Amino acid sequence: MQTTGEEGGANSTPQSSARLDVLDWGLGGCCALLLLGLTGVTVVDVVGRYWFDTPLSGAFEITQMMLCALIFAALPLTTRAGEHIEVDLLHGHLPRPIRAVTAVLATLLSATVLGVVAWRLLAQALRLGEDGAVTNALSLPLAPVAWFAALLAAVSAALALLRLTGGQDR
Amino acid sequence: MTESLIAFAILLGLIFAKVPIAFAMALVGAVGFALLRGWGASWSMIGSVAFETGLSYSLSVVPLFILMGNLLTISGVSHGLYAAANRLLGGSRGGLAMASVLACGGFSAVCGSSLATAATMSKVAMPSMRRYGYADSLATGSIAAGGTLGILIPPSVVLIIYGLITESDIGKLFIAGIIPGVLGLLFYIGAIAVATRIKPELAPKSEGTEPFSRRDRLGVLAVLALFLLIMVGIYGGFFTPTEAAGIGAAAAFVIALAMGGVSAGQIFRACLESARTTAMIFAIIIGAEIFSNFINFAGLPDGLAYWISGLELNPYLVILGIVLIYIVLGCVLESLSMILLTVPVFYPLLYELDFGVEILADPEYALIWFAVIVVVVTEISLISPPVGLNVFVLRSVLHDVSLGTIFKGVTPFWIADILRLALLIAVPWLSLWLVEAM
Repeated sequence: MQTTGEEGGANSTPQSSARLDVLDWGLGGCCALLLLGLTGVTVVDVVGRYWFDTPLSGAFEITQMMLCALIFAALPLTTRAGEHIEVDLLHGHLPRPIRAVTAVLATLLSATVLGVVAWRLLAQALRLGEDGAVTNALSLPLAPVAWFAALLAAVSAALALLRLTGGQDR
Repeated sequence: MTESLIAFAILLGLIFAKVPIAFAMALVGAVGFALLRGWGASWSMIGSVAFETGLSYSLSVVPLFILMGNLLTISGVSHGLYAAANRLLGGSRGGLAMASVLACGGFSAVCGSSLATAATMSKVAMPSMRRYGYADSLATGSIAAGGTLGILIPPSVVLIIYGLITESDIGKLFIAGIIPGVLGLLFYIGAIAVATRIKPELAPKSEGTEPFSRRDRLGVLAVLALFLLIMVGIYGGFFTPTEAAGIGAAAAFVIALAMGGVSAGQIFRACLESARTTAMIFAIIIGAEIFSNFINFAGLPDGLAYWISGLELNPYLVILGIVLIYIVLGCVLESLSMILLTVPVFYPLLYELDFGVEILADPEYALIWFAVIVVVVTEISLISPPVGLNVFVLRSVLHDVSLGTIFKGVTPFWIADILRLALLIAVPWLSLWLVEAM
């Protein structure tokens, strides 16, 4: 899903025909469980609150943590598939050598941003760990979520770099 | 303000050099913030924005509404919607095209993604329009345009994100979208009637009606039930707009299973696809957040509001200027990034403008009205050349139709949209009446 010009759809091959690999099964399974979990928590909370007068305690913060985990678990998949939105309007009309150079630069910039985000999330995780930060209702520790996010942001940065060798710009 | 303008210029440069929009915004925002406040402040800003956006409870609607849409897409309810709309409108000239618009509007309202709607509906509606001898331009145009309707008809992820940026009441935003959304549907149907009158060769005089199976009926009922469940749930106080997404996703599971023929593999892939789209959207949200932290610190929104109010322009002229900026930006930017980048800059202006209309004197209402305008302009951008995304999606699904043909087919709808936009700006009451009545 991207704004593409002439080369439109280079990356938008229908996923339904693509084969799933280890990353898809591992992280994808994780994402699927988190999505089911998010849905389930809301349903149990709403139904429990309205019909049985017993809301799920901590539904708010469980949702928060599952959402955070979901986003960062899916980030490597999105990055590897080249699904971050790009604008291909002008780029398609540039001479081929310039296109090749900017493509490499764009990939390096993407990887750098992801790398910095990973590093900053790591700092966040360390700080949360030191402070022993926990959620309000259930006292769940926050640091592990930040660790998880940092790790997967780093994986995404690596996968973004790998795209340099994958010939993403045909 | 100068810093902000330079930053916008660099940002556009990076975007045109094919740097993913999310990363370009994060990069320019972080560097700009660092230049104003020092690197230490910028580093810690990045970490907390990334983590806290991830933990944002209200944004949990994003993955869940996307999941709901993907589950509905695989469930096959789209065929039923099309068959029902065909029953309703099949008699008149251009009836199948009108049915496509109606079915697209209905499907995209609950599916939430105009791109998924265009892709799904093209498979359902295109074959029958071809069979009855419709011109490719009108057939593809009605699907591409019809798919845009859903981002205004609730539930709408775009309106939720607008609500989070401007701290508006999401329930009220949803209600405000209904009349303008239905108006869009009627204007599109009108556009088809006018286009086929001017050029009768676009569509056959009349066509038979498609068969309507039991499965089709189940599909229509399921979509209606889902829409009602969400609206009644929100306004009856059973759940919040945020929770509506989770309930909707659960209901979509039930629908997918009840419709039959959906395999476990398909459900897994729908989850996988939803997760990937979620990460893509959150990357943009985090990037935009970093960028707007910088823009806010550089004082652009306040500076702009101060400058504009100093000019003492006619407020409608200011709105017109903003709309023009959106139409130009919409030609090059993807819709969500456009909204995330511009709404934080423009919405403080609404507090400064005095429209002389009683209903807009309340800033809360002015913001809701502005939301409708922004979303309609975004809908227009989805079908505007050169990069209207819906047009590209159709092109990638239908290999034998040229981009030019689709853009030509979209023209009547584009004109209808501009008329609707003018009407909505001139008559704020259309967007606000239901909000006030609730």
